[in-house]
Amino acid sequence: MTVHEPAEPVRATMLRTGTRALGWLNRNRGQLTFAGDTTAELAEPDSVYKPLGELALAASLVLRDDPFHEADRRAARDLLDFAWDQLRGGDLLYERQLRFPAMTDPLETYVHFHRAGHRHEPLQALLAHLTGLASYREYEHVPNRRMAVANATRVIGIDDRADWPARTAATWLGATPEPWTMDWMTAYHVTHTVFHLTDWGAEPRGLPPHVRDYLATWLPVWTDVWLEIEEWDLVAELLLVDACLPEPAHDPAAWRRLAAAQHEDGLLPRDGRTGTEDPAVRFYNHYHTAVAAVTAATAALSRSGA
Amino acid sequence: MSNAALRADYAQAVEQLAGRVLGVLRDTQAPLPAVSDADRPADTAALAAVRVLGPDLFAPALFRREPLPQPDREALGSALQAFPPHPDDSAEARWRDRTTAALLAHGTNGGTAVPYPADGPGAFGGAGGADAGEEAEDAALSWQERSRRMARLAPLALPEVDGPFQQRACRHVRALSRGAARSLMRRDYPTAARLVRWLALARSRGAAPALDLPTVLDHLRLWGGGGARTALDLTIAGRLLAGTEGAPR
Repeated sequence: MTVHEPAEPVRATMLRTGTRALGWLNRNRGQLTFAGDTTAELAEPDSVYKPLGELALAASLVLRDDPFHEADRRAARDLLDFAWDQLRGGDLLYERQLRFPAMTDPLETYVHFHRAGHRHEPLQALLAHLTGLASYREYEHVPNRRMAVANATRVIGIDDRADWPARTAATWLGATPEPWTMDWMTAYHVTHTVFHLTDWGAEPRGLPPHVRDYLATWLPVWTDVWLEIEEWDLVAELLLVDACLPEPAHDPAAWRRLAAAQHEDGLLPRDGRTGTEDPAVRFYNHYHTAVAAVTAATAALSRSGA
Repeated sequence: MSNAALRADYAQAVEQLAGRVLGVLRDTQAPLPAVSDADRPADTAALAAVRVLGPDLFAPALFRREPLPQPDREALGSALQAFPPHPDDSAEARWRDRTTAALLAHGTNGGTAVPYPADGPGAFGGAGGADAGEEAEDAALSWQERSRRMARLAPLALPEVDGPFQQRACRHVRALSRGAARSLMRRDYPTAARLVRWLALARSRGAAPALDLPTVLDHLRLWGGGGARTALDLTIAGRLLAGTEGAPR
């Protein structure tokens, strides 16, 4: 039998975890600064460029769903504007898209700023042209990333020509496979398929019924397994998946365990093994988990009612 | 003998006996009983193994719809006499022993003299059942708690045997399917096999597990390791499924 101790309501846990993670990201955002001579080629796109896009994702969802207090909303706006400045008001994205017409990451990054009100008209014109090309839409990404492109296209208001049922069927999740074969990498593929199908929780009905039922049955199992081995980053993503379902479970025990792993300053370790002491790598090692926690808390709070 | 050595001794005895029952179950030509006259258990570890497997000793006879051979009957009677009900017994051990006693009592003249209620719940829809408190406690179980409990009670998943746990297995196939998937992901194959055995029983009684059981059984046969008890659970699960599909049992 579960011993039901007096516990704070799950909404309070979500709010505390999400706002502390947001505060930590905002206070440490200076780690993500381009060198002065950075060009659109980006020799190391994962070092600053990709994390900036992920910060923008978290901030844009806070601004879209508005689940936190006013001060946190301002922090999200600051964070988003910081990232936009780093991208030179979108010029870097525009130059990168001009330089590499086949690449979809400028669109996948721009979408988060667009969601929060920023516009770069020349880039928008490029994207309107490119997303009309089969070449761009059918770029040989893994299937769930093709859905990222399709979702970004519809969010920035361009005619979305994606065949969503076919795209869904092409993913691992779309096949609703044997749930016990799930592994760590596949789990991330699954979470992202759900994020793009539902536009990060805004459209739970974007999940086809067979996928919805499959997730309702198996998501608790996967969450339990990765909670046990303290894979906090994945747990946060799985809690976000839960918040994207038509009927989220908002499992209080899972939220409490994630919250318990969070440090006083808001840092959330990506797992139970990776150190958090070294200031030089601390942010890079753990920023993604803060992003996941902010987005999970945002979606969960906005879907759990007052 | 240290506690650890005792436990190892018991575990080995359980494996040996499970291997013997498995041999009888697999080879339809082999004569019953599982516990032969020649190697009737005499020492405590062997008797404890008989008690632990308990209802599993009936598996070959139940699948063949034959009475339990007298040597098995006597071995089980001795085991229950050597281990009478004890206040410290877990709920699972109580249910297992009562089911053994009920199976022993069934179809005999006056039953076998064992210190357990002969009309005990857990078998043949006997007069006994779970009381209201127990039902309420059971209804509140999470899928993880239910899976843990049912894994320990896997010897009760047998054809022809009915009672509260068999009915709960049919009612809670989603919880048990989750438990089986969790055990598979954690590579805890013995627990997965026990839960799949319950799911096969539920399937044989018309319930619809959330897992494709033949595929899971195949996987467990290939990955599940060499343990006799796990192999016994898998074989019983396979036989229950085969019965479901109308194959001869």
